[in-house]
Amino acid sequence: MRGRSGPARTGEHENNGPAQAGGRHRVSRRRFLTTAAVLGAGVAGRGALSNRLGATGNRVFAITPRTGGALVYAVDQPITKLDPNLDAHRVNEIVFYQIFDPLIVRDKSDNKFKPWLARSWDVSADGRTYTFRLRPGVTFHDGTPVNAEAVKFNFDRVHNPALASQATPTAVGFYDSSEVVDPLTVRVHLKSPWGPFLDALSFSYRMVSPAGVRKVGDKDFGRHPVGSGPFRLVEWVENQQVVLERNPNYASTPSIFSRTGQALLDRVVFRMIPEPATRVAALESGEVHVITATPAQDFRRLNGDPRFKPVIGRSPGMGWCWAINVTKPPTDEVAVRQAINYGIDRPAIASIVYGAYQSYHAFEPAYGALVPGTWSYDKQSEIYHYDPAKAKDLLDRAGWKVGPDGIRQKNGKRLEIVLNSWEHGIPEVLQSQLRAIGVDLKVGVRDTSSVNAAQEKQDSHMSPIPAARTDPDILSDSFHSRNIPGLSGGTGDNYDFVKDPVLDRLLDDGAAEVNLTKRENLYKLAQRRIMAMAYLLPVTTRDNATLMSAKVQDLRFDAVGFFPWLHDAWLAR
Amino acid sequence: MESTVSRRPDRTLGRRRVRRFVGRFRGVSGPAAMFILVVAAVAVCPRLVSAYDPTLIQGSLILAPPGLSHPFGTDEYGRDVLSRVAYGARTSLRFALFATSISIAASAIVGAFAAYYGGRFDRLVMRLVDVLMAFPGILLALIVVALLGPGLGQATIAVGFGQAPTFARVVRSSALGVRHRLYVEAAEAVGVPGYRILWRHLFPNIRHTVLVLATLGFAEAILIGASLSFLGLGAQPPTPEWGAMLGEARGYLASAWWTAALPGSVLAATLLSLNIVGDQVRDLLDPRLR
Repeated sequence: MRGRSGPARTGEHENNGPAQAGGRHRVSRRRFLTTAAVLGAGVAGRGALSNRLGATGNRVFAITPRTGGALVYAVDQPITKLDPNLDAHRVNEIVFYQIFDPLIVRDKSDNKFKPWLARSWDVSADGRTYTFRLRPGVTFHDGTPVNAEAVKFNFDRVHNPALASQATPTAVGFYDSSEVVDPLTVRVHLKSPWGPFLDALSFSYRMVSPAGVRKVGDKDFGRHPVGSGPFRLVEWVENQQVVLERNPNYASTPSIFSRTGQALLDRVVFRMIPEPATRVAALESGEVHVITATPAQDFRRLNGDPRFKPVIGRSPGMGWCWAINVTKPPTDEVAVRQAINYGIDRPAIASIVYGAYQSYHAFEPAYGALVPGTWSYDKQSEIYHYDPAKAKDLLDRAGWKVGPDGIRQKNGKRLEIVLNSWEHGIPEVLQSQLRAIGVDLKVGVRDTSSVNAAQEKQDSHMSPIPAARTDPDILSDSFHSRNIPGLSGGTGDNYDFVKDPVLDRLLDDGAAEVNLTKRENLYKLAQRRIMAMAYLLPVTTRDNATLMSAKVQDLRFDAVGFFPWLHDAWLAR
Repeated sequence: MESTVSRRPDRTLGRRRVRRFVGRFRGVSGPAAMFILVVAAVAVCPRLVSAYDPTLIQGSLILAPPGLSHPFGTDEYGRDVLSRVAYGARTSLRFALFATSISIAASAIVGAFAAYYGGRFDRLVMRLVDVLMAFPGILLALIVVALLGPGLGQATIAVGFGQAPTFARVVRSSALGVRHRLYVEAAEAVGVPGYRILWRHLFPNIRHTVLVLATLGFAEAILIGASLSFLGLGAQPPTPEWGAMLGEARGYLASAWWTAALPGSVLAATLLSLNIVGDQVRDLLDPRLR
């Protein structure tokens, strides 16, 4: 679940979710990512490579990685819970991905799954039984072994209804049971085939220590995490920082890491700084080494500065897009929704709001339900290119005539649409562009929980639903009728309130399909359906704009684009 | 019996006071009053200083520094900052006018009634006022906005009622001073009804206090209104408003100082001028300072 509502949640929660097995159709966007991360600073940063060398010591690229030092990583929200079985809020994930390892990992260079805690795995022909053979000799931070029993414990814990896990894949009741075959072999049985399972395994199912859970209890484990990852928790100052230190016994590095053995950094400090300007100031003063969610204007100001380097993690899934309420007038009319989609000039929005990122191919215009580069992306659903004449024509034919104040009216009602967001930028430009076609867009910029609550209460027409995921199954979250919020007490993310049997079937079939070609086709049809009915207003992609000190070396992000692999990272002097 | 407050002497007194008032415009209070007049003129007619639509987004002019065509530069959407400040003056002054009207009207009625009728009614009302006064004004305003939802109209009500308790207390105490004057008791003795006494005898004698309160309240209303908009609870996009402009510009201090510094300076100068002029008005009207 994206988890955009509920009492204990603040800020933006876009969690990585189920992603797709296989998929060599990934297009240039994704491939670009791998090189962008490495070359970003030098190539795009106004060719300041030589300056940077001069400023940071001319042997930066020649010397061998240095062991030691503390990396300070600024995050934009409070860290609340470090329990991968039960939680999937992005800020927490950034931290607990360093403490807990998954069974397998997605290699973003070829988009294939590679071993991590599992040495190898098989999938039965009917797609319902997965067998994992574990890497021998791996232990949790408390010394207990990572064995078949522990893996079974983890699967059972994630799917224990009593614990009401908010980790991503648990909303779907596909899991049946796990079976210990021998100490290092575990078999997982599913009730039905579930296409996104391997992808979910690659990030969401991270192994926690059963002994650690038993010691403090299920509820408190998130405060006393014990995993098998390259770092372990040493200090937690509420609302200020979380300190991790190197796990000296770490040996279970996956092949995609650039080196084996324990991590290079002594410590990693995650410092919570919610105010963007304060984060930037902390980076400039040297107080922190890495900041995420860098504001565009500061990114523009600092990306040529030799003291810093930009790293863009480009993110698949759903970008910066707004769900359109299809039950509340006037957006219950498909013509109105299509007109909005035709009436906005996405390239202009991207250059006005996110101009600084454009040369990094981040925050680019988006026209589909998924962003380009996501596996199964459907180019044919890009139908809404800027066409104000067509937008006006659609509205005219639907009976919305221009009134005396320039805003359209029908039966005495003005064409007013309420759009909320938790960030300034896009809404203001949308408002100005839509006025030109006679739509009065009422914009509200509030905190995330108010924005989501307003949409749930039907007070607004449009609400943002970005969600970074590697699997197209993310579409179920926002468009499947079972995920309508409030329905059967659910916390679904279907903020467009779409109840479309055609779409439901496509999404259900897509999730159950194991044949990759068929699966890809189902999701392409789903994307086409969503855009034809204009259930969504996609605007731009939504990526991870990170700025870091030039001292930080070899810091890479995973396939979702937001989660750093800190095992390989090191600090130059 | 209608003559305890005669109009004629009052008017000549007023004229003399105005002369004295103008005569006292020395030091900074002259420029301050001039500045307020300029801001008020711009609020009435923003076209005086701005040649642009304050909501016009220009992609080619994003964060342009101050120059000839845009004396205050442009903001992150390429909108002319001077135009936004000018139209923002209209938003802010209108906001403060309405909010102060609400608070003055509410407090004058409550304060004068409580003072005149006294007894159980007075005790009940004043205890309620005490409870409300326990909350700082901005907090009270925040509570009202939380109940009514964000928006300029809601913020107006919030600020109006946020100021009212303090004002009501001041009005009551000054009305109490008048309450037992001989002319009031005389009016009562000959059977003038209560509402008439309030209107003809009480209000005219406390209106100076009310005027001072209004001047100071006006400045405070601008400030609280800007604070609410800064927090995103007042003016909504694309309405230009000083506090909202500061709120959006605070992320640009390092890269484009003019987006925050210029609206901020105008806001600060307006508040300072209002307070200086407010002091003048008090000097003029407070008998103890004469």
